[in-house]
Amino acid sequence: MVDDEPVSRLVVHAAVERLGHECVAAADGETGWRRFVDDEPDVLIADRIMPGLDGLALCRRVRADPRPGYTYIVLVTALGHREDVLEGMEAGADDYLVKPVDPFALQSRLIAAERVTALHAELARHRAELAELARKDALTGLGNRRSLEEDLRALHARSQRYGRTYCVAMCDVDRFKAYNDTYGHQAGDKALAAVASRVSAQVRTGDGVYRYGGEELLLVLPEQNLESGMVAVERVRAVVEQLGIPHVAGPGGVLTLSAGVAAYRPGDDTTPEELLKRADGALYQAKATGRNRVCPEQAPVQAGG
Amino acid sequence: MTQNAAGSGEAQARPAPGPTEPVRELLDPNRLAMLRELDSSLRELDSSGAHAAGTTGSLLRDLVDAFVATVPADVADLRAAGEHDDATAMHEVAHHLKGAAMTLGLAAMAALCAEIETLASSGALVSACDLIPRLEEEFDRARSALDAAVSSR
Repeated sequence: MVDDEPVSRLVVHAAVERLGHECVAAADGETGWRRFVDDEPDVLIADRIMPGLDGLALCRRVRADPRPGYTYIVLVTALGHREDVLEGMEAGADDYLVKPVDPFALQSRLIAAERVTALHAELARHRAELAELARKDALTGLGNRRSLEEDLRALHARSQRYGRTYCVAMCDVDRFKAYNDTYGHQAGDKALAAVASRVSAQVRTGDGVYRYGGEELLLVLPEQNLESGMVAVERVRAVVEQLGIPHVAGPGGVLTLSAGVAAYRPGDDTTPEELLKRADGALYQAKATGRNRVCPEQAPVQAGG
Repeated sequence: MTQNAAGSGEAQARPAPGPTEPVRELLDPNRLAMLRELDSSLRELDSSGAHAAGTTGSLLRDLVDAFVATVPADVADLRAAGEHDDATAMHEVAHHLKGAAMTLGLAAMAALCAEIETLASSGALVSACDLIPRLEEEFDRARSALDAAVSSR
């Protein structure tokens, strides 16, 4: 609560504490703002008229604050200043009290405040859950195309800016159509989920695993060059083979993975899309040369090289 | 008896209030009761060590102390604002003082502050300054009433 007048400050402070809430009192708007930033209170009770940063300006500043979380604002106005009330509500206050503050009225405001802040917290939680869901593939729990695009764009920009390298690997479950035809689509879904979960467990923290298409996975490996990326993806290929999911049409009678790897090198004038295309070309190579293998992208043709 | 509405008996007769000056309670009993109630519920909390608002362990005492500590400076600020012809400052100080007086249920003092506030905002600083001695008298009366209220619990 913020009030420059010590007597009413004491009364409000006491009335808030009596209700079992913790109360931090500030004697001016700027101090109140700093305490707001530090403590992120559920409720702000601010006097309308204060020298310096007044209650209205404080309301506006709190509402302009981009951090998540909602603070319920009760503006305290002088008796008979009705226009202050409207102005205050427009500036972002949720409710108002008239001076001298009556603890009973304050209590009723805080009941409403509790309800509203709880709703806001619930809303924020749902919003975060939805945002998370919107980035996930329902079947495998991997990141979806949309999250791949966001993450890859961010990684590409970061790598360009700081001169870092990264790898992408396009992976495809071998003869998956035949698997579905033999064992049924439900078994196909289960197999895909098992592969996804094994691959996720294999990669390092910070690596990204996404479902790119039907039976295509995409790995994004920050800080890896083509050589180390090949090693990492080869390990992924091996653990999938070791799952030993029976697949009569698969190489060696089990479900396997083919992959193509491409690397971003600092200074490359390329786009994430171009990199994916190169990885896809390498995947084609892996398929064409017998499957259950990892191929690197073709070395770019160097002028005069 | 056709004028019952005017009063219920001779026993309540008292000096008639002046035409421009309605009778006001020195210390609003409702407000005082409310503060007492707040104080006693805080004391209950205090026994569980939960509250930190005051310093003396009595909210009423803290309030009166805070009031007595700030009013003389506010009154000096009012005078200074008058001398410097600073209507904004006078308005602000009077508003501030009015808030404190109202919080303690000091209706007469709050009304005087409101008058000064209004006069200051209309630029009538001389008339506003004329009210300062009365404000000081009111403060003295308020102070004794408050002290009595605090010790009579």
